[in-house]
Order: sequence, then structure tokens, then C-alpha cells
Amino acid sequence: MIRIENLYKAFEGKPVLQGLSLEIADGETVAVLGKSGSGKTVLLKHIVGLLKPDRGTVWVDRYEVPRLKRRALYELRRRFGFVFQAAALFDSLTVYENLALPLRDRGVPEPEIRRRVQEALRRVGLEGSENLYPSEISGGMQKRVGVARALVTEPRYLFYDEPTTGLDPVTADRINDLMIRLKQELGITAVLVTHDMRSALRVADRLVLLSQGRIRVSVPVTEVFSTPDPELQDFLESIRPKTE
Amino acid sequence: MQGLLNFLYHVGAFSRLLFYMLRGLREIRKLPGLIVQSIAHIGLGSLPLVAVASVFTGMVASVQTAYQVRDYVPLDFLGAGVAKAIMVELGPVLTALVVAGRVGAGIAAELGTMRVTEQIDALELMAIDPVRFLVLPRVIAGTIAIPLLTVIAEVVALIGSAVISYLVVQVSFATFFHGVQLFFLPKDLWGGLLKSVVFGFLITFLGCFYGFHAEGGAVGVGRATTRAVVASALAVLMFDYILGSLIYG
Repeated sequence: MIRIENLYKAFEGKPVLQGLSLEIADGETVAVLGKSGSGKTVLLKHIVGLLKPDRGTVWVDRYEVPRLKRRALYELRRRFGFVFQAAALFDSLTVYENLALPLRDRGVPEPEIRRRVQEALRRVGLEGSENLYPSEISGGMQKRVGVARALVTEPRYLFYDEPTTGLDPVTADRINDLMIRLKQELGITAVLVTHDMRSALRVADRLVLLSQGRIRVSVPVTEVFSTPDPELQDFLESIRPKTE
Repeated sequence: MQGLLNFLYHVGAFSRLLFYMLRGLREIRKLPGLIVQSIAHIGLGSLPLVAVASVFTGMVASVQTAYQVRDYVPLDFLGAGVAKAIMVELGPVLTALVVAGRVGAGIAAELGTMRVTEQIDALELMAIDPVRFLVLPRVIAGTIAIPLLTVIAEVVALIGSAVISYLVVQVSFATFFHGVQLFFLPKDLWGGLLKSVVFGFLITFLGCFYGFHAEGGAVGVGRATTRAVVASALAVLMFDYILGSLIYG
């Protein structure tokens, strides 16, 4: 379980998070929505310990993330899979080597690495692309390799940072389908940071809207359309067909 | 005041990176492959450039030395003067400056790009220490590869020098290399090589430092690369004086 308590963070005096609290249950998929600069990615980086809060704290399972020493933090991060907005693949390594890297570093035997890499690539529909370099594959494929790399370590928590941003609608839908399938097959706790309402509605169990550094709305996706919040309705407006 | 703060920031940041590198040594068993790869990249990749720079350095050294001493020193001693200059000064410093331009800039650009495209964050989130994985192998490789390059540069420079001495001022090879041996002191060689070890460390460490701390997209990577090259060149010249004074002073 992930629990965020009264989180505050400012950059060069500019407040980004202002007393944000949120709880994410095991097995749940939560979509965090918000306008650009609303602090979605900053929230995610606090959960995984890449940023330290000015005030407040984050709990993952029984660990208080900001208080963990480096070794314990690295130990905790082994439970995480993280899909970056721009995939963040290592461009000097092939797809196979990208996926094998975290396993090799943990001393996993090579036959087991091969099995897990192939399994992860199969899950994202990229069998046969092992020997390609990131520069040789499309943006959508890079995102899927990013998902495979996040899965290969068999994480308990999966974080997606804007996974459909910059993709065409067809490719974005394929990524959405992939996230839904992973949720059904693996039941991993997932946090999806996005400003793509379509993606949030398709993939998540619960939708959280960030505004002015706080949670403005937190509702199950089934209740999104009946929630009378103007900012949430603005987001919904973006996916309604326009009529004259 | 701003300058002092900037100086203190750099002292703190250098010390922190150095500390993280020393901490990374605990997992050195994971590094040999990466170190060999980096040595190949730094050493073999720089070899043609260093060789060309060295052969011209040797040639210029011959012509200049002959021009300066021909009126009061017999040219039989040309090899002695040129060899000392190459081993003590020209070999280590010019190799370091050439490598600072190529390798220091390359490392800063590579790590800077990895920083701004979140590849370094990705390593952190895979529970892989980025300093151990990216910085340590490059710095160890630089500290090994640059002295090796310096030895090759000195040999190439001496050959270039001998050829030009023969062609321009008619000093035979035998006379030239006899001169080289005549006043040779082991300190000339190991002193120069000790300097190149320090230069190798400085160039790769500064390249890693500025790349690792790059921020702000392509502009930030460009800025980091420029800073790495400028800082490396200045550090090489500064430490050349300090080490030169300590060893030969």
C-alpha cells in the first residue's frame, strides 16, 4: 500500500505540492490527472524517492520513503517498475540488453535473464526485437520496451509517467490496451500519471485530479461523469465529441 | 560573494561525487567489463588523434630546438634536449589536452544527455547506483588509458623528431638516439607518466562531473560539454605546474 501524507514541495520558492494526501490500496490502479505543471510527476518522484519532500511524508508498505538510507531505498526500489514519459531507454544498449541490465546487476543467472526478458517482451508484443537498438524502433515500440523493462524485474508497484503522451491515437490505444491487460493478468498496484482523460478512464479504477498542489477530486471512474466538479468536467469536455 | 559561493558549491559537489565513487568501489566486482569497454573507447578511440598530434609535436620540437641551440650547443645533443622535453612536458600535457577535447567532451555530452533524457533516473529506479555504473568505470579507465596513450605519444613523437632531425638538420638516427640515452634520467619518464595518471583522472572525473550535473535539455548538455573541456584544460595546466614543481623543482 502507498500512503502520502500532507506532502509539501517547492522549487526555488515556487510551491508545487501544497499539503497533498493520498492513499493507494494494493491491486488498485489510480490515474493522477492534472494540467501541465500541476505536480503530477513531482508526486510520482516523491513516491519512488527521487525527490525529498519539504514537509510531509510517503509510506510504501511499512517503509517511510524520505527517511530511508540509500541501501534501504535501493532495496525498496526493487519493488518498483517505472515507465518514463520518453521511455528513457539506454541508447547504447540493444532492447535485450536494456531489459537484462537490472537483472544482471542483481546477479540473476543468464538463463533466467533470457527467460524473463523473453517473457516481458512477449507480454508487450515485441518478440523478435531483442537485437534492435532504441534508435531503430518507433516511439510506440520504445514505450512498450519501457513497459517491458519495468515488468522484467517482476515489480509489486508499477508507475506510468505520461505513457501515451506524444503518441498517435492508434498507438496510444495499444499502450492503453497493454496497461489494461497487465492489470488483469498481473494485478499489480499501478499509478498512472497522465493528462489523457481517455487513457485514465480506460485503464484506472480511481481517478485523482490534482490542482494547486492538492487533491481536488478523488473518485472511482464509474462516478466521474456524475461528479459536479467544474475542473473535472473541463477534462471530460476534452473527450466529448464537439457539436455545433 | 557569488564567486565564493560558486567555489564552495564546486568543492562540495566534487567531494560528494568523489565520496560516491569511493563508495562504488565496494561493488568493484561488477565493474571489470565496463572498465575494459571504457579503456577501449578512450584509448583506442583516441589513438589516431594522439598519434597525429604527437608526430607533429616531435617534428616541431626538433626544428625549434635546433633553431634555438644550434649556435652554442652541438646538434649531437639534439636528441637529449628533445627527448627530455617530450617525456617531461610535451608528451603528457599535449596528450592530455588532446584527450580532454575528445574524451572529456564526449563523456560530458553522453552523461549530460543521459541526465536530461532521464536515463540516469532510470538507473536509480532500477536500484543501480549511477555513479558506480557510469562514473567509476570511466574514471578508472581514463586513469589507466591516458598514461598508456602518453607512452605511445612519446614514442611516436621521438620517431617524428628523429626523422625531422635527420632530414632538416642532418643528425643521423644513431646520433639522435645516442643523445636521447646520454642524459636520460628515469625521473624524466616516471615523472611524466605520473603527471599523465593525474591528468587522466582529472579529465574523466571533470567530464563525468559536468555531464552528471547537466540540466535544461540540449542547451544544458552543450553548456556541460563546454565546461568539461575548459575545466579539464585548465586543471591539466594547473596540475602540470604543481606536479612539475614537486617532481623536478
